[in-house]
Amino acid sequence: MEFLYASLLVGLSYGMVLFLIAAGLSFMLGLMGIVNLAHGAIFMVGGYIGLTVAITTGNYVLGILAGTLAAAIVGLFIERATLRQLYKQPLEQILVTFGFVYVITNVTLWIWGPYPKIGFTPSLLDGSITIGESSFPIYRLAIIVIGLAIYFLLWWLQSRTKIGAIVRAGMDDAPMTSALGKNLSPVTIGAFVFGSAIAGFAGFVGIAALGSIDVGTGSRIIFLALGVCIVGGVGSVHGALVGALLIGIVESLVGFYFPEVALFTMYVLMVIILLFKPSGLLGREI
Amino acid sequence: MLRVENLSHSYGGLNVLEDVSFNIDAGEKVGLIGPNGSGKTTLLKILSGLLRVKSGHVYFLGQEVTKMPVHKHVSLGIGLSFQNNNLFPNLSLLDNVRLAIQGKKTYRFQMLRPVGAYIDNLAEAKKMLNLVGLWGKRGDQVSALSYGEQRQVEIILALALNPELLLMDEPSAGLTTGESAELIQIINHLVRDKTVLFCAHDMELVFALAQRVIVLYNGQIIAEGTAKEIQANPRVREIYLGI
Amino acid sequence: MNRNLLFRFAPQIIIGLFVLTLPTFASLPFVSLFTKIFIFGLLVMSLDLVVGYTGLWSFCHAALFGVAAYTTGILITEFNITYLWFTAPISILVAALIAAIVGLIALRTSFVYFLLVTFALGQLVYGVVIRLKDLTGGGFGLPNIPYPNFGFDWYSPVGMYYFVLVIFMICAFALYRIIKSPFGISLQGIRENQLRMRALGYNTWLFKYVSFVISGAFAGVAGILFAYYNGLVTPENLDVTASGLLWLMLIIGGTGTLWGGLLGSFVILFLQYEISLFTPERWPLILGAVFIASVMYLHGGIFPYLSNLWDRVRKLYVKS
Repeated sequence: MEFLYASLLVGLSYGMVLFLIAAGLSFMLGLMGIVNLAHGAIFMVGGYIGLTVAITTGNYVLGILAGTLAAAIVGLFIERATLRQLYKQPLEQILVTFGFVYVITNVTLWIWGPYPKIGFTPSLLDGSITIGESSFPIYRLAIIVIGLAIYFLLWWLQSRTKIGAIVRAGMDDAPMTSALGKNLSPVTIGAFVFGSAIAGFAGFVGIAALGSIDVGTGSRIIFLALGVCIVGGVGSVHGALVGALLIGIVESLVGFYFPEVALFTMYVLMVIILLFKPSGLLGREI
Repeated sequence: MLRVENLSHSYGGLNVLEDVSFNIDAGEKVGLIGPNGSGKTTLLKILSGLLRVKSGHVYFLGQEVTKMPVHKHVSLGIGLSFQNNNLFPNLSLLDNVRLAIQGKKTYRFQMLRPVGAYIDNLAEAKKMLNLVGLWGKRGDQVSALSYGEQRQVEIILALALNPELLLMDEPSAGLTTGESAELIQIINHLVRDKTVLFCAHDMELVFALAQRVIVLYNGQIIAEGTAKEIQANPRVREIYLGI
Repeated sequence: MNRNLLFRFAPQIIIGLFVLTLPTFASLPFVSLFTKIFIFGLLVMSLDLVVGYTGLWSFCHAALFGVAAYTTGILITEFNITYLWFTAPISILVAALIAAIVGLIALRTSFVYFLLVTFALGQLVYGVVIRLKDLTGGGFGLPNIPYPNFGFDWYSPVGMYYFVLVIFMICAFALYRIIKSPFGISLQGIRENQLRMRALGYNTWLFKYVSFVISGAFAGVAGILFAYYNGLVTPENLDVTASGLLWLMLIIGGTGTLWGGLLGSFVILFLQYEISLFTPERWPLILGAVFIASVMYLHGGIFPYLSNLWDRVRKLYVKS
């Protein structure tokens, strides 16, 4: 029975990592209708830069700040340089972000080389605690807390603040909203930059949970993030959390009973959801 | 030909249609009028199959068509023209009409012979375009035509299906009085032996075309009769005086 | 021959002659490059059928191409079946089957969500291929695929070039007939205005589905050619990055133009060839930049531009 609990805990923490990975993408997609295929690459940038700063300064918090800021800057650049001029052309927007994947990935390779780098865990969160007969890394528990914090932050942002309401109105009827006098532009920039910032934050914080980071991380991440969005649904942050936790816990449980097929769990969940509820568990039709 | 029984439909908590029932016989030209929001477009959408009605039944030529998908409605003989110009913008005028003509033909699945090889289709397209005098512009992109010309194309597309029952949603929407008059003439000529149900705001169109008029208000039928009778109906006058 | 006709089709004739006689004056690496251009040209043209003509934003096309390539490779290297008339139909069937399954799932959505779903499903195929190590060689790929067996000795890059060219021309002709047919024009109708098509009596889902499966079959043909040409099939040939590359070729060439696909393939592969001579490591960076610039500034692609240019030149010449 204890193994079951341990499994659930592992699943929960893995699910939280998935949530962190998907949160930025879901935020941008659900609120702005913008698909940022470069999300994984931006995640990677946050990870690499945060890691470099953390290792050089020995300071975890500085690493977080550096990673988040770097990612936000990349996001700002993408938005200003290209997306802004592609208003109302969703296909072109998506393609452009895809172009940036090539660019960012190659520059990352150029700077940091092809070999993986191991995550940085601050001494405070190092080590593990014992639960019954199994030991659980403290960092993994910290991730759960961090994930929940981000979740509540996004929830608050989405429903309480005026910005959330404008963006939601904008999504449903952009011409009407601009006719009403609200300027969508700073909101669009803000949403994209913020989404990128979350991605960068998750990038740095997530490396220690994922083990290591390398130039292939970006494409693995975008796939995981999309999987979470497809399963959980797009439109609110709740979808991302539900999707992420569902995938995390199911995969962990399957891995406990049938280890060989565990890796296929997300694929199977995705296909099932697409067949029976294409808009995702908690999603609205895009 | 058409039997509508107790149609009721709501949308977002609003009752758009309430217990609507009426019949249309073959060859009749029926006009549907009512103020904005009275449910006219919704009713037409339900009859054409584009909208699934919440409750009620629609019978066409004896068959129940209430739950059938759009393309089944069309293959049974119901055609619809839209309130907005709902065309194929980047295709040529000829291609637009060709698509309409082949809508019910089995060769629309054919992949091996070019469209041009189907001379019946071309002849039919020529006949239809000549009716509105647009044969000369058949090579032009539809997006390059004027609004009035596009409206004529809109009607032609619905007619090209050779429907038994033609539904027209505000056929003269957006047209000037001159263009409107021209359209009325064209429609009168084109639908001579067809059954038509159309909704309109343009009273000239209604009186010129309709033998019978149904008045819709707040989702309910409040009057039915000839154009003259409706004009004299006090309830109808009361509603329209505000508009 | 009618002089006017000759003049009107002059570019096509010149290009045709160039292509047919290429091996007589070009170096072997060049012949090999053009072989690759035709393979990918066919692949992008098949993508154009779904994207440009039907209006479906499919991001898993490389996966369909790849499974056919893998099927051919597996049949030959693991089951020792080298007979082309056997391996080819099976590979095409596999590609069409995967397209049929993906289509069933993805066509429940449209536009942006369709792109995301095909993106995810494409990566899913990639993941499966990598995990079935015993069958596919996993991350290392499937090596040592020999030339197709026709019964006589023709093993040479030049022979491969003509083999590919012939298949390309047959398939290109087939695609051309499809887009000009009533089915083809129906697809364009769906692209332009799906609602109206439904109101005209078309079962639009069915048309989209058939179009998707057919394009998958043609992608399969390209996959077979690639397996023989390259001798090696790796998972990178079918991931989303590969699918993205196809989109880039299509955008540069021009969507909805059919031949734009070949043009786009030519531009990108030629660029890659030249640039890789100087800086192969930075090629993805340049590719990304070209991608971004094309999406932002190249509306309609190069092919329509060249086509219009030639029309204007002709009119000028005819006037004088």
